[in-house]
Amino acid sequence: MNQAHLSLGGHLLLWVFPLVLTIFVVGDTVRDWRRGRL
Amino acid sequence: MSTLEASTVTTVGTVMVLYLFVLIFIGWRASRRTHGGEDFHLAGRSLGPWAAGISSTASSESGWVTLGAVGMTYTYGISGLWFAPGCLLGYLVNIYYVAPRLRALSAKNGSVTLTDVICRRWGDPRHVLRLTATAIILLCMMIYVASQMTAAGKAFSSSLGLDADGPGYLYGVLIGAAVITLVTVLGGFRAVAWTDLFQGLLVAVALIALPLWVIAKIGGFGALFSGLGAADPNFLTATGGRMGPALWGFVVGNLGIGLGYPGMPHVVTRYMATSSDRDVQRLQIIAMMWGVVVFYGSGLVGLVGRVSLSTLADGERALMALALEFTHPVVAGLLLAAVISAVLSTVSSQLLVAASAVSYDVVEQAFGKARDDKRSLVLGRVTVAVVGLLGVLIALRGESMVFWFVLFAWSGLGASFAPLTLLALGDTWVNRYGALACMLTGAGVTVVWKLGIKVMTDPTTVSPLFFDRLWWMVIVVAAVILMLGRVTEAFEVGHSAAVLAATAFTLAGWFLVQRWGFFNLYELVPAFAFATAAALGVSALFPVEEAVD
Repeated sequence: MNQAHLSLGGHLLLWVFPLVLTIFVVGDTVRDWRRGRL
Repeated sequence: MSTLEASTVTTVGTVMVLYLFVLIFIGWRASRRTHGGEDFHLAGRSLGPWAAGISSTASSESGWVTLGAVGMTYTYGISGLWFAPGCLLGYLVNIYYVAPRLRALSAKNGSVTLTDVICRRWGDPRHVLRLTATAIILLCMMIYVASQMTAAGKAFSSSLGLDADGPGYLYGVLIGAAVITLVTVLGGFRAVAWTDLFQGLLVAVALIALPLWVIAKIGGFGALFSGLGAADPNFLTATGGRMGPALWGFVVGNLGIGLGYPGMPHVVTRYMATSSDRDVQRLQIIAMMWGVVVFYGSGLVGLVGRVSLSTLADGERALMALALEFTHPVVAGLLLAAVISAVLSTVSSQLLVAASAVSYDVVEQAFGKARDDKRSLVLGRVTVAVVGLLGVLIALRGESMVFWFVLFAWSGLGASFAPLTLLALGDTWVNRYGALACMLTGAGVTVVWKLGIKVMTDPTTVSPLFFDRLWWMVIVVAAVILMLGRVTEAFEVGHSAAVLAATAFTLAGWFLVQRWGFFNLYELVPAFAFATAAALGVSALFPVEEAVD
């Protein structure tokens, strides 16, 4: 089978965006927890 | 006749029946804790973070997430995924901005529905806002409920390999509608939230487990990308080979889907029902992670379907086809139950919102009846049953009409209520006249813009001649509303100004599409912008004299 690669935009759309979002959400939750708001 | 083997049909059917019994059991349990009106409409403001978080997100994603979104990536490859950032940005605004503020506001002024929040925030002495909001919500929700019941019928019949137009469809609509209406009548908001939690988790597990399982079977992500590239090199890019205005229209339109979230009454009432500020903080991570899993899961299902089942006539059926092809019948039954779960979790929430709009907003608040808590509960239950029955009748009678109108439902609700919810939570100069202008502008611009898109892209469904003459119909509708307001003596000067402003914005929208060809743009984006402008403009020009608490 031929090797095919995602374009840069494809990488951003497929996994970079959800990863950055997940890091933000988890970071926010950890911050709330450390401030005793959770 | 079924196209599947008899043993498969039996197994899948048994799992489905068990799933429906679980729903009824949850409804029965919830009914034992439902004693009064606020219990029925808002679960007595006692939802925990899991029920509130998953219920808010599962209600917002209808059958679209297991059918339509899957079809997007099946048809367009990676570029079909643009809906995911659009929806998730909408989630971010809803969960981090709207949820904590709306909970605080509704607890402070004791409001039970989104309409109630708006009316109490700006004052509504003659019920103009309440009745306008109820009319828009009821129209959109009835159509939405009917279309979801249609989707349930199709999912049932195709899960069992039956003909989509045969008796399987009829039984699917009737069984799905009967079960979910019964559950909602019994347990009200609490039953809806609990069944949403169960169904939302089922959807999330199905949408992430199925594509990963099939990707492992076909040889990993490398094989997936190779297969996509072999089908079409554009499937591996974020633009999908689009250029210029078509590209920007596609991207902005997909991102614009997210604008609607703060205006969905069946979603934001979950935040109002949360038991504490702490629970709002907790629901944030739960709801966001559910969104990431579900949107990217459904995107992956479409991509995997494209590579492993490239000959499907309809990409929207990829999930069901993959389940039957690649998993054991028991697992396939659970996966197909997840498809129906996505539909039913939305139906139940919408049934309840439509019922609350009638029984709470109109009968109890506008007409001042049934103040007593027990009577309020009975009234809520009866209204759910009636709305459910009407939904079934529309689903069985006017299927084509339903699909037509449902196109307006998301954008119409989003444009009418999302700017208003955001403005209600901030500290702006908006008043009750601006609020009326916002709702009418949102609804009006959505209708003309959507019709315009239809005329330009598919002239067989809407005649261009009809669209050319639409401007005077807008004026006639405005005149009727103004006369009604005058005859009933409900309108103040500001209300009339709001109707005129909404008419002007709607005509401007018609002009932009008709004369300047702005039909590449998804209607929610301009409708949202115009509605916000109308709210701010009318409120600045027509201040309310007396103070409102």
